[in-house]
Amino acid sequence: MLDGINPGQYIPADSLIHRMDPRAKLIVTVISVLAVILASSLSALLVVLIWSVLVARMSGIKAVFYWRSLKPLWVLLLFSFFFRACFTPGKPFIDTGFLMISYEGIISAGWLVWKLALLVLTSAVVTFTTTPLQLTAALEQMLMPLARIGLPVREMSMMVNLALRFIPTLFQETRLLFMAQWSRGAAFTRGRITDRLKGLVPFIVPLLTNVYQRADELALGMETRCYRVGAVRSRMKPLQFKPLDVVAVLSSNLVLVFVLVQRLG
Amino acid sequence: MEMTALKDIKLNIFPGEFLVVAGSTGSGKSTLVQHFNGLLLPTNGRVKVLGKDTTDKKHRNELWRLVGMFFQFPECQFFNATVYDDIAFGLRNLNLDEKTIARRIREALAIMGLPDEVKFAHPGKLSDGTRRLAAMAGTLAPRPKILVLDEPGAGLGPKDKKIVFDRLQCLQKSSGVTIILVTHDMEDAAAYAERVALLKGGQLLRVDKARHILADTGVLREAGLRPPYAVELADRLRQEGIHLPSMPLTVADAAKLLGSLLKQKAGD
Amino acid sequence: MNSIERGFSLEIKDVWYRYPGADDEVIKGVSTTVGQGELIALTGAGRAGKSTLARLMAGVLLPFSGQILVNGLDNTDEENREKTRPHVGIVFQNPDNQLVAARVEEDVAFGPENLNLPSCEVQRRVDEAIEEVGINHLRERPPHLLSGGERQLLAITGSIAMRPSCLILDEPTAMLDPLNQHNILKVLERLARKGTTIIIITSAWNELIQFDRLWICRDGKLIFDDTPSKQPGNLKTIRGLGTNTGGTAELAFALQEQGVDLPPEAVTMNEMVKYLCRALR
Repeated sequence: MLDGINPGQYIPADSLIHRMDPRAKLIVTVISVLAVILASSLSALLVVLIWSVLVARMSGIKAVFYWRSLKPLWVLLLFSFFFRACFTPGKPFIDTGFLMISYEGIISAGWLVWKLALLVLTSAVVTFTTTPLQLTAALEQMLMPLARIGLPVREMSMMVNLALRFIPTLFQETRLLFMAQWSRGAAFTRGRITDRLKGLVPFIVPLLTNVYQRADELALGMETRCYRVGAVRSRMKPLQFKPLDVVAVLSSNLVLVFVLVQRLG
Repeated sequence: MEMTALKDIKLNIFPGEFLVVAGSTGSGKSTLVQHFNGLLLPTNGRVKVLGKDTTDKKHRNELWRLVGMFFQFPECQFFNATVYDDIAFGLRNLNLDEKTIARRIREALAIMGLPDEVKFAHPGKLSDGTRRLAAMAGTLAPRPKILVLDEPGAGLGPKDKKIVFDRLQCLQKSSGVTIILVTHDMEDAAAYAERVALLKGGQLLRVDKARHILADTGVLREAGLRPPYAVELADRLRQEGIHLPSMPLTVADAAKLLGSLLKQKAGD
Repeated sequence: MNSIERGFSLEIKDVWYRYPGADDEVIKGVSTTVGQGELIALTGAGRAGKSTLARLMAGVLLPFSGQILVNGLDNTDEENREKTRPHVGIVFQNPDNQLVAARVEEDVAFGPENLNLPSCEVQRRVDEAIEEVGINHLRERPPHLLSGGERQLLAITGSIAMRPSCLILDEPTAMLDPLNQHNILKVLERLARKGTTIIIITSAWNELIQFDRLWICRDGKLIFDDTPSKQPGNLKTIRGLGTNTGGTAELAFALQEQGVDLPPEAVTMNEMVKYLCRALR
């Protein structure tokens, strides 16, 4: 049940995309997203599509997974389609008197849904091929210049890592507490709001007590393993821009430039 | 992500017996007993408790009271300032009046052999053994017919552990409560169990009278468990050609047997 | 392993400790010396001060009087502590709260990374430590999906990746089943043979007996500091503490109560079997 929770949606595989530097992946994603948003001509959108599909293919992850990542969004997609279709003025395509859908509306709505789907696909490539740990490492490195103006970048990234480590544990603990108090007849889904709130006490109090104790011991444990706030730490696997990453970033830039040229020209 | 934690288990538990459910880590012993009070429902097959199926909704709502479930490290579940309020938690969920609650608490503490003053204490201030007994009183106070205990001795010293188990056995003998004890410690099984159910990898390896299973070092090792000391010793002696007149299960048994043998020898 | 080549020493000189806000001292004047590669068992009743003493030795707590010298450096000095900390590792009773990373391998790397070692060195130490403890198959797993025994092994791995000269463990086997208990003791023994000092808090007699040196802690003091089987009376002392003496000791006691004279060396099952064979044949 809750044990199976997987923060992020990382799917292990051995592909070029998996091996890329997470920083490069983030940069490529940002550029690709820009290209999708700015694409205005059919050829531009086609190039962006080819690019996205190419990247998704290279990730070594089955198309089913991408389809699944789109599935929860179909309501949103459908809604945006109708909204855009109905509220774009132009030559009538269907006119019931009460509702008018224009030719322009359908085309524009099609564009919108097309673009949204591409955006979801692009971001899914990153979340599927990058572990949360790699992502925080990439963000930490990219935000490092901000450390100079006093932003605690290292500490923030350590906090995210600790959260990734302990959130599943807290879920397990909550489940155990739930079972224990249920076995003592705890009711927290019945009755009035005040009763239900009171019913939460048997979970919240021990949970918080345990969290505080954990935090305390965690701090000690980190100290004994020579962690010091603000100290420079090395990395077992330092992030490294390889030729592959450079190629990826350059290619995504080419796509963006093409889109921009189409737009201006 | 779904895993089959238990497979094809057929087990009858008799009223009033002391059953030990034994297995190593990951054998599924905890998962099995969580079916007994309706916390978990089987994906296949049926669990009948006190004659009724646990999937019966009305029955399931009553099950928590009929089957007392005692988890490992109950210290982590305390949320009240006094032992009294903690024991009262289960009773208040039964909508009993305060007078009855007070009486039941006095009773439960007495059964666990604790002085009445303990109820005023803060659970965190008690010694390990007393705290465990107090938590157990909380499980007992709703007067369950079946008591399921998942490693109730974990983290306790041998003295405290013995007190806890002695109290449980006393309760079983005097009031006929069925006791189901989950453990990996065969010394406990040797001292208290009437029957033992051995689990391995989610399957029932064997269920039999305690003296049959505990004397069988082969099946215990197969389950990843260490046989009781006395059995291991008797086994070693047999390999050396010394046969004891009967198989001792506990150290006390072994001492009695060996003591008389040694004295006999000295007298010759 | 240059720290080990240089040898290791831990000196405890009349250490006293009281928890902030408490009235009584938990540690009342403990003095002793620990050398390189020693295997020491520390035992005592509940709340006798074992865990506190362990934390003092690891420099997590600071004595309010007395000194703790690691390789001759006073632990109470902040600057010294930074130097000595990597030499003394500690694994707490509940290792779960000591694991910091969402993946086994990254957790092992945490300590060496804090030492700001070059990446290849971190990688080498992680590989070595994982190899040493034998948890290669767990490398990619998240800690919350490990069993209690595996978490304990991981905490030990994380500590030895720092290459400490001394490793202190607080009841590492108390919550484990026999198979895992055995595994952990084997790992620790191997480390000690390679020159790491091991101090383990335990109350299991069958474990105590395997060690070169036994400390018994009572009421904040070390009341015994010697080899475990040297003194015939020490079994009685330990039993008096309410610790788990194990089968052989229990049997020896029960037999003695019946008036059977046992040789003092019958402390392990092997020795007991040997004695019984001699006496009964």
